[in-house]
Amino acid sequence: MKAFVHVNATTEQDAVAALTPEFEKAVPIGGGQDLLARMKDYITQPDRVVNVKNALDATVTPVSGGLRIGAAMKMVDLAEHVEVGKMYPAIGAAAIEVGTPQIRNQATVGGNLNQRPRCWYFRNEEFVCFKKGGNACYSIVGENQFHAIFGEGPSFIVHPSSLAVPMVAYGATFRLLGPKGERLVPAADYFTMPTLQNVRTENVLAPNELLTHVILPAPGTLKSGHYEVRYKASHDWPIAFATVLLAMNGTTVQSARVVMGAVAPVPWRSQPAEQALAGKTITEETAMAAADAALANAHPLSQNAYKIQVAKTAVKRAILRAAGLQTV
Amino acid sequence: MQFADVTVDIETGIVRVKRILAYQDCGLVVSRLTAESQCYGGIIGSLNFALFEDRILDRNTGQMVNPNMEWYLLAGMSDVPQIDIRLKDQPERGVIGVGEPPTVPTAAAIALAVRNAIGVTVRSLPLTPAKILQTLQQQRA
Repeated sequence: MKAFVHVNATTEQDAVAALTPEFEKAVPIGGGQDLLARMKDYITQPDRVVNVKNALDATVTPVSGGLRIGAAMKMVDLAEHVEVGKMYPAIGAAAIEVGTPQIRNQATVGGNLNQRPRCWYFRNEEFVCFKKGGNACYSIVGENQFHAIFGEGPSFIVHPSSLAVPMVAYGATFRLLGPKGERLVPAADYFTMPTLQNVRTENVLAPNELLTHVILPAPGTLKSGHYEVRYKASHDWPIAFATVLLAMNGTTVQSARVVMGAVAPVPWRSQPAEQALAGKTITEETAMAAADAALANAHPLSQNAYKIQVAKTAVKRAILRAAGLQTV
Repeated sequence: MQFADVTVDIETGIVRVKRILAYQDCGLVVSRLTAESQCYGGIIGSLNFALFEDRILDRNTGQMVNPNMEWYLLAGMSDVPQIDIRLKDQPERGVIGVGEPPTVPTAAAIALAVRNAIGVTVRSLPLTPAKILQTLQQQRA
């Protein structure tokens, strides 16, 4: 690991002041569950590491019918938070499936949302890919069984955050703080698709900005379902997962929100699936039709076509869970 | 001789092992505790061989892409099934040891249980969701 300076910030402003506009020159550290591994593997080599655990809010506050979650909140506290679980069950469900108890005891909400891709080429020093300033995505002609089936490059990473998907589904807003003050960005606009001009980052957060809060709107009477498909029962990255929200009108769906994870470089919202659900009564058949619609435009690489089937199942089961029809 | 009880989710290709029953010949049982322990270890090792362990090499450079505990999968506590061991105590054969033999049948028992469950044979290990789904699809075609 390269030597670095450690700054222990105690206020939001101090933390932001310790960051720099240059990419990955000074980096914030929360639980360190992503950053430390990247530093040990020479993937990220900052000059300065800014501890933001004591600078950022780690609590949940009610705000106009919704909740405001501090970025320094630990994943375990989010997963066990009674109000979060009651008002936004999909967030609780996503949080409790992250990593292991040890990881959840360290990891923070901000760190989960801002973690870098888990792509094995990105994480390997030997492969200087788009994400590391190179000019290739090695997964295209390489080992791509866990890579994106949506988005069509140039980088085929899948977004690693399990929390990002329900956050986009619930229409969360992220509060970012920079040297010029705060700005509010909707979660759906926060995560960015890779382009040749902007391929090294996964979101709009500037190097000298911090994500300080996640603001969730009032949930109303939405029904929610979250389903993750993992190879191992725990401590494994999902092959695909989905969050589904349903606004019901009696027994029919008034409107739906379907967002998939681990299938694209960003949380992937499927409007075709949402349209397929509108006005329907949820049954195994209507859920399957929506899942088919969700994956209709997928473009798999050489080895990840199976993810289409897996993601379909995740969408279908999340819909059924939201409708209270599937409990396992 | 071993038996495996598995469930296969044919919509995701995920295999879960529910139970392994091992009937192990080891001659005279000198220490039941350590002999059974040896069986547990061997069975868990072979379960990893059946379901998880996979050294994935980049086809263009030969670099291993999963040289870490994040992507080189090993069973965690919740992936390990109920394991029942019956030692065949045969004092007349003397002390012959238990060593590696409990490792040998587990992967085959799991793979055959999966075949019994889904009606098609997956011809290589580990039994990944990708292989299970692909095999099922070929069978339907």
